[in-house]
Amino acid sequence: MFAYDIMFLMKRADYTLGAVMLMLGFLITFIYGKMSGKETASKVFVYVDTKCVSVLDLSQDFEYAVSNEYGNNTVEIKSGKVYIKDSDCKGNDCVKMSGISKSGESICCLPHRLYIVIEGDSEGTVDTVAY
Amino acid sequence: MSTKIQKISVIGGLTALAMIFSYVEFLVPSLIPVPGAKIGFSNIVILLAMFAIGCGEAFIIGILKVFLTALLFGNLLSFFMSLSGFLLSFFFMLYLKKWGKNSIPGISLGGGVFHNFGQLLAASVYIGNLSLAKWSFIFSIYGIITGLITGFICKMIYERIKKYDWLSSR
Repeated sequence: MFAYDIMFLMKRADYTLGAVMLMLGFLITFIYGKMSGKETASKVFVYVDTKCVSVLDLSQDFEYAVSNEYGNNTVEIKSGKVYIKDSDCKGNDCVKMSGISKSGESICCLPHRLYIVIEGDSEGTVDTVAY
Repeated sequence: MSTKIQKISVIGGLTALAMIFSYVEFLVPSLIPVPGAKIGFSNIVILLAMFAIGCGEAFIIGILKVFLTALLFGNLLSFFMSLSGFLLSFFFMLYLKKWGKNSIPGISLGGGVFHNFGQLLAASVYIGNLSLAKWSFIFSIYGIITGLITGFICKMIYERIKKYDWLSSR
């Protein structure tokens, strides 16, 4: 038996099996994509003084004003990213920070005791599994 | 027809061979950027045992290889991933062999894909959600490629050794 006739050793059922396997993998990915599109959208949690004051949807563009006795912040959600648009704190470090979009990332404004974190099923799960 | 001693020594030798393949693959970095992705050369040994010796002996070799490899080189997660991959792929290959329409490369192809699915399943149970399911298409493609590689190698070896019928348990 030589190497060049090896492709002829495959039967018709093998090609069918390969196609079925490919379709099975595609189907699982497709069904998961359909399912996860509805249920597991990422949420933006806004905390003031360790208390959750608001839960926002990451996929919708939205502006949210946080005003309390510590000061005023404007949280902006734009095309899947969360920024702090405006703040009247001293250093404005929260405004200078780049937008967050992935699960587990956070922005905080320490003078105003504001903490914003994204939770949900977005990118980033692979890094936690890799070892 | 083989004696019991012949059978035991062949099983022992093939188990050692499967473990060595598994260990060598563990040392060589994978070609694609997925952690832990390997060709799966130890599947050659299991598939060869399935055809040349018998299905029960192939199962013994495979399960011994999974346990001993995890004991020597692995951790708990890698043990469960390889156990679930092995069980799923072995029973799928057994089914394909009993069905009898596929050649050795085809059976190996199905086994490769189901080994990947089993590993994905174990990893999904470990992290506690189904977010790894979106990788199943990539993993089925990868399983088809690696399964064909090991299947052709197995076919070439089987054509050479099938005349030694003392290996067979029947």
